[in-house]
Amino acid sequence: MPDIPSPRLMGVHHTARPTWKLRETVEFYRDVLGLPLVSCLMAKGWGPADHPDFLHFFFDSGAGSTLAFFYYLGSERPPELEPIRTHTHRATHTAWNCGTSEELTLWQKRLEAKGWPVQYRITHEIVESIYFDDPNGYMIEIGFPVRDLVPLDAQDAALSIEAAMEVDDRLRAKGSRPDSIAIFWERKGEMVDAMMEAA
Amino acid sequence: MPRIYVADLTEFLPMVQACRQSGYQVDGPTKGYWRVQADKEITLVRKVCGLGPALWNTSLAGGIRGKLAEFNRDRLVIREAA
Repeated sequence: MPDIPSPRLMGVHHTARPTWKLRETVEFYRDVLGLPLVSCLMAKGWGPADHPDFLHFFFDSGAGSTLAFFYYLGSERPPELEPIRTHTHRATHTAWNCGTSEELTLWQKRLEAKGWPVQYRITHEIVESIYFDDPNGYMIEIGFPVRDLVPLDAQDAALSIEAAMEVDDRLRAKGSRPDSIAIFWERKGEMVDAMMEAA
Repeated sequence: MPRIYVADLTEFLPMVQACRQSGYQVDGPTKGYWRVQADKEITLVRKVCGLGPALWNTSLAGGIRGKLAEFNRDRLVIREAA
């Protein structure tokens, strides 16, 4: 296999999701969030014969990125895409970067002033975020990086993932699956122990 | 001997300090990790560690030796493995 260098990515061009609530979506992103509408395709359906005609519209989400929706004509939201407030559904989301704590507070105040509830404000390891739902029931996260990533973050991530994959592989080979984070912590502890002894 | 490894990252340093003040043996950082250990048991309290709920839930992500005997919203206990 030829050795092809890793191509790079340069951030987000657009994210896209389907909507069946055209007006609510436009009014939320354009008017509540204040994101400029910058492009809208009005397209004849293409590809498979049953592909409906559609709108594909884009809002400016900063730093050259856009946040986009598809609005499919003559279709209803399929049941499997009905919003469900479970962690597995909410795992699919985009976290938008607002840069600073002050800006995040401004987002929170703007949403609250527009009558849009912010569900949480949480400080994680490397990001502090607010969470809320759009009119489609899609969870949105806006946050800012609380610190720069340092080389130790990557070193630690490599160890964590190695420990987790090793345990996961071992259990799956036995027809099981890990059901507690503690077994990953334990395996990582062994690995860090070994690293310390080699130091 | 129960042991906790804590990555030498800003957000976890209050936890390292709390471990030291609680009288546990704290060494390091070596290769990026603080080592916290005790003879029989390590008990930590979230508020004493200065961690919010999200960070508390990843507070052992540096790795542990021993058995996690208790982990709830406010307190965790690691004991010597049987």
